[in-house]
Amino acid sequence: MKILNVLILLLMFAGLLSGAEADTNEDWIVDWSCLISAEGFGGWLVDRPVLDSTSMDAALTLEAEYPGVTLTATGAFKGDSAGTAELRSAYAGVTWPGTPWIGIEGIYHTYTPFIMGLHGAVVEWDMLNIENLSGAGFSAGGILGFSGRCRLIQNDDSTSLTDVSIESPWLGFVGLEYRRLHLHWDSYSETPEYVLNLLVVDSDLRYLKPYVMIMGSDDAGDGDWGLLAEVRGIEVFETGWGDATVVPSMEFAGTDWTQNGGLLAPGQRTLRLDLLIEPQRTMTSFGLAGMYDLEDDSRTGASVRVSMVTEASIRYSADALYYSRERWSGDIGMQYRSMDAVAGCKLGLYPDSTRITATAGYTPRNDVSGWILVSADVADSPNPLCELNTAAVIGPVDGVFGIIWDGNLVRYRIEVRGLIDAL
Amino acid sequence: MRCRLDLFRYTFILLFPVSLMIAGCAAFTPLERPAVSGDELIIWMSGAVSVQVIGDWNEWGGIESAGGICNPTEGSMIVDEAGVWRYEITSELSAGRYRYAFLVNGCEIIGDPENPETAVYNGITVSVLVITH
Repeated sequence: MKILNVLILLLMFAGLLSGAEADTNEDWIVDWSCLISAEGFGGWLVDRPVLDSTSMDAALTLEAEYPGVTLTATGAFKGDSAGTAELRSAYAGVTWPGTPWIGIEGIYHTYTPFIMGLHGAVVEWDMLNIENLSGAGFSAGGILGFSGRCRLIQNDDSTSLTDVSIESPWLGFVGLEYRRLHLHWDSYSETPEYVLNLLVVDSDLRYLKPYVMIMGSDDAGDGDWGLLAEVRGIEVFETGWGDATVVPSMEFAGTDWTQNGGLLAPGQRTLRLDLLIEPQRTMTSFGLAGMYDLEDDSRTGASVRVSMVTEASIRYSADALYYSRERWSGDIGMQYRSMDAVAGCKLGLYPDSTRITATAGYTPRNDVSGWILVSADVADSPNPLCELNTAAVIGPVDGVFGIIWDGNLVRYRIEVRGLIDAL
Repeated sequence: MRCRLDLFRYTFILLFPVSLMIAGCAAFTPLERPAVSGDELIIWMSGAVSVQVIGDWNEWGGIESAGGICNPTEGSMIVDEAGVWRYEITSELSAGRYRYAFLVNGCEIIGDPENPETAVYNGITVSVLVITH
């Protein structure tokens, strides 16, 4: 498989070299891009800098489109000691002529399930920890505007993933989506399966916009379920900053809920009320949230967030979060910014420390900037930290050079990223 | 001579607090929000050399993509003379919820200061964008 990957990668590079710009041959549109990233981290040895680690990565993407046909492939080169090159993802999709909602597709390592919840992800990038996937799928739809997709994916060590989704069109006041993920690990005996059924109901009742997400495994009746819901669109009063809206929401989970990486805790029964003032006339914003858990006091708390940019080019910001005596934080800061200078300070308050941070920066040109950051704990031990950074941007290339002084340890970093693509 | 000094002194006594008041007012008077179409994200970030919008819809600028490298041109914002960076967004997004943040100078990820709704991405506080039908 590895040899095949390298061969495909070589073919991709050959394709790249054969045409220096996006090519339109009859109805085919061929495009390519290459991202390059180089990083170096090092320290200071007596009187000279020493580079501890370096890496140079490249990712080449080829795309070809023909009416009804889409082909993409991404190959990556890892410039580590092994100098590995591999095909990271490939996709081939064909749709039925004239009906873009009916099609078939082939997938290789390109599919990472991701499902967003109310404030965090239900299924996060790479949460399922599956590698080297390959599979096939098909999509269909058109009946009353509904569309569906099914993907069957298998990896090298007999892990299989089935992902089915059905989505309705916007039905005037409501939209529906059902999704089912079924991951099966052959190599794990304790938890060989991950099953997530998910139903999303998004509606707009003119004055209220309820949103409900119900999740559960096939044995949801045993307590393996989750519920996220909120109502938007409730405007309560008008301020000089903007309209104030309240957003009531709830996050509930069954006692055996174990599906995701921390979005919901087992047995959670949290009611939440947000008061939001989003900027409309001025550069100000305000958010106040209260959380009350019916079962666990440690999830009961409040948070506040305020930001304002003034006519004197100063941004004031403040955040505070309180759950308990051991779990709280707060910070308040101000920053002056002009087109060529930046200066600011921030005070951070935490249960075990009080930290003050000062920054100053200078931008001599619109593509070069440098800034210094000094941070220290004002309580028992200062633990000072000092950073000096320089950033430059030249077209599709940017780079950062930084020196970090942390106590008696000096570190530095160099990062460069660039994009080469079809002209 | 004495008359001139007195004039200078009284002028100073009168103008100094007035200038302080003017400076103080400016320091605490909210800046008027620039005209924004409903499809734009903005951030006031004078002095930055680049600001990108990265989020769930563009695989966090490429960090979450198959290549795993952040694209320095993905989600690039355009700055005006007042230091306000803009990015037209909703034309590429369908209805739903998305997390997003700003990548400043290619190295610092910050949430949207003008958005009171927050979420978490890789341990960093970021912002939530809700696109309705």
